[in-house]
Amino acid sequence: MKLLSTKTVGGGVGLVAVDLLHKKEKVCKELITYFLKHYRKKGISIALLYPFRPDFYKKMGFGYGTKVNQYRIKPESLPKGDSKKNTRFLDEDDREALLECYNRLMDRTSGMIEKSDFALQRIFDQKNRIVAYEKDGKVRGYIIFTFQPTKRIIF
Amino acid sequence: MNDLVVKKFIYESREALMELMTFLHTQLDQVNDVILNTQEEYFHYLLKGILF
Repeated sequence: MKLLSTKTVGGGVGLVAVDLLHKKEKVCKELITYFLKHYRKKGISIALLYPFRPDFYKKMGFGYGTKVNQYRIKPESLPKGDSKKNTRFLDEDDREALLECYNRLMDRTSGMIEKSDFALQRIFDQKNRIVAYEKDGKVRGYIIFTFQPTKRIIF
Repeated sequence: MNDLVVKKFIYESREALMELMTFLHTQLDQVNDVILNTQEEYFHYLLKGILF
């Protein structure tokens, strides 16, 4: 991952699960403590996770990342420029170009995690569509998106 | 009608951002809402015609 101006290795945990019969017995705390010790022993100085309960992990010494906001926007409220002539769909044949674009941005953005070819496979496995902006033979931006039926929430 | 859910939005330049935004804008006849998550604190300055 990129950390300030350097690239470093971060330790990560993707999922923790506790048997229903052993809830509230500090099993999760034990798992996370092991995970932190494991990476500390290897000399890795940063650990990351995507928390279900942020306050639980805060107590264990984790800090918060940048806040994420979710927007629900009418397409007509998004800016309309003069052109979209450099956009096209990407498919599996373009995975190298997609990876290069992502990793160029990662290289100048603290906190971003380098993507492997393996991680990219999941993007193509799912029902995603990918539209890219391509200039001078290089992918310089892309959107991965999918469609879902509109769910109306009444407040 | 469907919503368009953006899972990842990557851009290296203003031109890339604007063309991709234009692409999304032009889906207006068949998309109810565009849903996207962003860490960009000033994203709302890009939008127009929003009623709160």
